Amino acid sequence: MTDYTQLHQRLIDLFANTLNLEVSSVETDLVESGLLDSLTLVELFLSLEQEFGVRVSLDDLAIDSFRSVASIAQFIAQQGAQVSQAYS
Amino acid sequence: MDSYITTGVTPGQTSSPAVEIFATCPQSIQVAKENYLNHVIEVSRWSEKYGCKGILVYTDNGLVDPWLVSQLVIQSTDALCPLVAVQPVYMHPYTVAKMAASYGFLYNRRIYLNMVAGGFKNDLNALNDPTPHDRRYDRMIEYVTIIKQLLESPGPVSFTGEFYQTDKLKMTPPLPPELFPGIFVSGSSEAGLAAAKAMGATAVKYPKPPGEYESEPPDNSLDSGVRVGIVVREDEDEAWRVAHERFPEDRKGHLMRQLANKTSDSEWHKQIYELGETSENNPYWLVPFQSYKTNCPYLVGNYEKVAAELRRYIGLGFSTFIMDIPPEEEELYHAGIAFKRAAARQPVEAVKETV
Repeated sequence: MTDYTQLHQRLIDLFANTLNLEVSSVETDLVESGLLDSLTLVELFLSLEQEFGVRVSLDDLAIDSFRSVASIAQFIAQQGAQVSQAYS
Repeated sequence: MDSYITTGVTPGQTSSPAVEIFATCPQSIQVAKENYLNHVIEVSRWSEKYGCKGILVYTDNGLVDPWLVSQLVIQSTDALCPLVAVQPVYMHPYTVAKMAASYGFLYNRRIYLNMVAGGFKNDLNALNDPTPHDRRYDRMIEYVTIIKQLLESPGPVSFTGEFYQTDKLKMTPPLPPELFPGIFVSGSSEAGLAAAKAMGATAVKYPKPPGEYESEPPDNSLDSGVRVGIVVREDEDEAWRVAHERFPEDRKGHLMRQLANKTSDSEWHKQIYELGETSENNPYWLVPFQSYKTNCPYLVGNYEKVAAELRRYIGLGFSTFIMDIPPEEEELYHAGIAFKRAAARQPVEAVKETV
């Protein structure tokens, strides 16, 4: 079972360390708050791919899946085994 | 090196119109500030040297002003015509007409207008322009109508449209008729094609492979063009080596393209995106598009293969070619050889059989 608290913290750290963005809450709307524009969104996808071993395909995904740390965590968790390995 | 691109050539089929070739000007966002001005001058001179009719100068919220760049193009060359991208949201049609008239007065140089109906959605949102796709073309028709009327005659122009109105508006200085601007517009959607017809413009596509048009050739009542990049060499392997070196696989670029496809309402974007993978023994190559390095498809291969592909487009009725930004003078030299061979007098079928 996914430990969401740990996953949220890991994503917040990723935003801070890789994208240089401070996210105040896991529910913060990253687009509305101006934290994510199209370029940083792509940087985020690349970081997620590297950090969690997932493969992002926007052809099959709604951009809304990436609007908050909470929704990103859900996306990561849905990717399954590779995420578990990333934790271990 | 000799000048190889011959504009105004008549291809093998006598019914085909003359072919006109344009290059594209470097973008300010891709060149260091201290080098940009000189690079524009350099690329303009290469383009003229190899016989291009003109050079496309882009516009969007992230670039320097295309009219200022176009003035530099004119001042740096003897006859090269800027093909200025015009985003109607940026300026009133009177201002565009004034620019054309002023270039005519100051430099006796003709310009072309590349009418932009869309552009980046974020740019339009930032400018608070939510106009839907087809309505942007309706607006463009009015826009171009005003420009044409202002430049066609010294008489006052009174126009009452849905988007623009003028009242006894006159253009001074008047433009000599031979300098009347050529007008291009994207012809990938039904709305774009209808606008091209209404405006008497050249409809330019980001083309699919020529075979896709053979059962459905472009409307021959319209002037049609394509925007393609070209990497061509005498040797096939060398052409592909150069192409891969210039456009390496790039995951970030692929994600950018996926995102662009998600947000764009452009017909051409969806058409090209949906073509998917292309094989490498085929001159038509989409990796530069897919990795977000450029928007146009590329033709890659040896002289014969690329010339045959160009000739298929010409045979279909595409008589204007807008090439991508040349990274080096050498690219225009090689592309010129391919165009020269494409325009050689031989039947299209004979060329196809050689590939």
